[in-house]
Amino acid sequence: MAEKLLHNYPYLIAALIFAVGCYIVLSHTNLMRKIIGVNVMETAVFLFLVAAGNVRGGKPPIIDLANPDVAYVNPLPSALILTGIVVSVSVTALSLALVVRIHRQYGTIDADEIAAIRSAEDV
Amino acid sequence: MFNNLPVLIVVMLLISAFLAPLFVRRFRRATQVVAGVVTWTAAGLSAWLLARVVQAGPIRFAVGGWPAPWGIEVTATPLSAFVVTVATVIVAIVMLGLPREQRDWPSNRAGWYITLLLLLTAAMAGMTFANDLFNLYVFFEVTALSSWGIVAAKTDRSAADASFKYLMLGAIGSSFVLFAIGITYVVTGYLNMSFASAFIAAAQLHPIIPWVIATFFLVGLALKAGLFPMHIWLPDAHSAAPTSASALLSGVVVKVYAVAMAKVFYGLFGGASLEAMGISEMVRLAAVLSILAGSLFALVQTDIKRLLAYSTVAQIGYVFLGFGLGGTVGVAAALYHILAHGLMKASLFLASGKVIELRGSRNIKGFAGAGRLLPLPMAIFTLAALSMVGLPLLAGFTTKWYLFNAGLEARLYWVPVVVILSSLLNAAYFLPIVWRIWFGQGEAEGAADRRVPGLIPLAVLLVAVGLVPNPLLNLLQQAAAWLIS
Amino acid sequence: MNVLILIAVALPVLGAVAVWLPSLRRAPLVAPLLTAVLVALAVAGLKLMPGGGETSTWWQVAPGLSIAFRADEAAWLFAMLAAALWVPATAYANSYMAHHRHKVRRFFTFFTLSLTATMGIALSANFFTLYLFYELLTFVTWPLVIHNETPGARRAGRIYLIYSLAGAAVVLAAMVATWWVAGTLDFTPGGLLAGASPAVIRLTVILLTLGFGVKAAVMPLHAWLPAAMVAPTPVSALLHAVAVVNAGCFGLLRTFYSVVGSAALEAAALSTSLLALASITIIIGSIFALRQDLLKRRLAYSTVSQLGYITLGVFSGSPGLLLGSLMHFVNHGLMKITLFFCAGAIITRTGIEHISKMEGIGRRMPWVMGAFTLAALGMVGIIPINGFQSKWFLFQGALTAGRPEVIVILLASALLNAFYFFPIIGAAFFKGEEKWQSEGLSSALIWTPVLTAALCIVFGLIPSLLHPFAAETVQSLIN
Repeated sequence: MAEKLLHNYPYLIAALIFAVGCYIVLSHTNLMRKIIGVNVMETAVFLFLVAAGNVRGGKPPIIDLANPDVAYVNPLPSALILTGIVVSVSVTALSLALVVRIHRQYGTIDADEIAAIRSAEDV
Repeated sequence: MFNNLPVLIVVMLLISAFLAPLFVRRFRRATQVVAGVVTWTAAGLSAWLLARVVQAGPIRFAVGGWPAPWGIEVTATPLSAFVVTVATVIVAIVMLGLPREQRDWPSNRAGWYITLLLLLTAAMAGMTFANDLFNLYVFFEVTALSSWGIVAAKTDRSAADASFKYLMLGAIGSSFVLFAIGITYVVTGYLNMSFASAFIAAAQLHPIIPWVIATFFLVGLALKAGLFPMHIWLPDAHSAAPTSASALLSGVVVKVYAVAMAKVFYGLFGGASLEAMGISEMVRLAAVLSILAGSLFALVQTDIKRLLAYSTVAQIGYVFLGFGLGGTVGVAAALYHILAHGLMKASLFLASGKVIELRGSRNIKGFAGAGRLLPLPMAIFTLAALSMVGLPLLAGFTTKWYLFNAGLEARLYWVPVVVILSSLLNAAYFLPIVWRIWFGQGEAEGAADRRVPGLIPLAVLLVAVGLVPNPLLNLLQQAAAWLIS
Repeated sequence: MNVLILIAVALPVLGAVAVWLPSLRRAPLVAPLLTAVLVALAVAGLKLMPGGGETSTWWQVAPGLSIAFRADEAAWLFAMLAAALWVPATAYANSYMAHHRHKVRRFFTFFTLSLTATMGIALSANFFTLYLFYELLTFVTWPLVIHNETPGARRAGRIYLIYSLAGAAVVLAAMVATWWVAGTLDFTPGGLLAGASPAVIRLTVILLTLGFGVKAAVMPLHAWLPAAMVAPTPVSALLHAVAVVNAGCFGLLRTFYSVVGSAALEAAALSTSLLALASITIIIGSIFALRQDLLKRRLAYSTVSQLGYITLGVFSGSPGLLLGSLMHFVNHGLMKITLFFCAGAIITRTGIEHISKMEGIGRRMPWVMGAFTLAALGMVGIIPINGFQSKWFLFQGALTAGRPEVIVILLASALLNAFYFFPIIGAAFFKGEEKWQSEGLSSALIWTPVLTAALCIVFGLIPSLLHPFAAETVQSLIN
């Protein structure tokens, strides 16, 4: 059992980082830190997929017709991650843009302070 | 020719989305018209596609000629064609109001808003047609990005704040979904749902693995769909958005996530093993909580848009309940409610948007005497509200009736109780507004412009699906049978 | 499709629209009256026309859910009562609204729409149609309850709506249960639940009692009825003495005998507890009535108590008691509408609403108070008036059904009725300093109560006007 766990340590680390990222988003009131948390979560998923695609001792998947018996690393997860990174970059960009706008409009980037300002407005 | 129709619909919407900002400065009116025409064309094509797949069976199309499991596969089943038709029709109807809504907007904003609406529609269609988990994820993210964008389209402070909240929770949801997709891939070696499902069915997996996959999907998609208790972003986002965006987000977008969940769950695991894993039960539990809590929260709202948003939390519960109950009747009820609620909620948002515009406030007190001010829009509001309550002969009742049947078929006798309780709660928050509209004392002056474009088609459709649900339900049961088999 | 049923159910909708016709100067007066007369004629015609008892289906919403109508015996009895009383009530409402001018058109719109809902309930051929119109009745009578738009009226409207909607929701639950057990919702003479397990039958009966019991004002679900007395008096007279409350009783009757079925009712073995419920309603309703000083509220509690007579027969499941309760269904309608008409006439002419201020009112308004006295005597059960008849048949039924305790309840109630009606009559005629004068019969405010009081005597003197219809209804419900 322990050996199995050690063998699969990248997955465990990915799950751990995922949880850490989730915690950061939910627990911090600073909007920038929330964005960082989301990025941490996404990175964890990327790590998970990269680890899944790795074949121990595998070569980069550039097909060499001369030696057909070489083990290649699975290229598909990497391709997926590229797309995933693009998505994550655009999400980050959008959230940063929103933070800039929030800062301009509220003068703060702390979620609690924003909530306080809004509840003061409602009354 | 027909086989690439699903792709054509998505691509057509995508291309026009990015063309809109180029022309909007010079030819704003024309751009709005063209965007409308494109959406109506998409709606027409999806309806045609629906008619074809109902007759000739589902279409599978391998994008770029690469066959599955390597290439991207798009499938048009009666289910996906129906959902795309509903989504495009409602978007097209709501877009009729764009020229009026964007009257005072700078062209820059107007153009990008049109882009986002078209992008949203394209992404919803893509997400529904995708038979490939990763493709699903990409469109899922595009849907999310464009919804965050349209929430932030207004310039006031609450819009940015609401959009950010939506974005953070949405991003968590996306990560969960991506993680689930990752696990599916690692376990099965496929991203194509049909192949992955065949693998799961054949392999003797440890039961925890499908359970983890399903739970991650459920958390991610429920977050996006605003199911209680993951709804906290929804009232802010749906109330801060411009009227047309609120109508679409509440009326259509959340439902597409529910459909995605149904597709993934039934596509990967099948109804029997969902029940065996306890996932169906979890969905039902979340749905019931959502139905009751959403209505209870709606009861105490004084802001009409927040009230309608909480009502969406409750109503999305009906859709999840239908999917969670399973069986052709349950799934058909969910699909029917997707259409019915889309029509009702869009009408309610559009009609109240007019009242908000006139009164300059979102407080429900503004509805006092609105009946004399805007007779037709308020009559439609009343109709939609009564349909929400679920009076017989209106669309809401048909949903209730089919949910009863599905619940009883599954021997879950609490289902009728919960649904009846929920319609009483709906009555408790909608009828006071209806009362205010027609009997309240309020200013009856100042309406220069009484028209709300798009409201009449919505109302006509709403009445039609309420009075003649039979042909539609036959179709939906067929669609449900495809999903379940 | 049966034309007469079409007229009865759909014509009032046209009539309600016609109220708003701008070209007709007296549209609010003419349209509702014409509608009521035509509907009454159509319903009367249903009895004469051969094949009136056939089902005519209008629309199928979904499999098992169709809107269908049928004028069988029970349906006709209720439809005829409501349609016939609608005519004088509309005439009365016209005169009443001439004195209380406030949103007259809106009033008559919903007044006329209530006729549609009532006819729909009466003539329904399946549970879905019954439920649909039962729900509709709430929504079209609600604006009538809150008509005056005073804070009190709004509060009453809210109470009315909460009770009615909750009741309708419970009815819906009963409908779902029926659908699940029987697989059909069509009313059938022997009932649909004959083969079901006693637990299911008991559940359905309880749901039905709660659901329709709201409108039938079975205690403790009666609180909306006294509250709704803030409505204009024609509304109280017609809806809260005849149409709405009788719709509740009729719903109970219909569903107990055409959905549950008398055999299944017996199997459920609930009749003793249900009879106790009805008896409590009779006695407590009367006791509450004693304490009211507002005339309309006293009449409302009297209605609560008298409706207990009707539900008593329905709950018992025995043919004799059911016959008596059906007689009372009609007789009580006649008497109570008379009493409310009188109350409204007094309010309009003198502005007096409290019983304690009514000394000598009988000498100022002899016709009205004469009619009131007759109807009140009928309520107590004095001989030539129709109230006596219903009690007579109830007594007989109680004896044949072997439930002598019912007789005790009825006698006690008669005594209580006397206690709360006689002081009014006594004060009206024998106290105070007023001089005898005549109020003149030209206004509908005066002649309608006189007319209905005369009908009370006619029905009391000629039992064959009503008894055969009630008897054949009982026969059609219990084989």
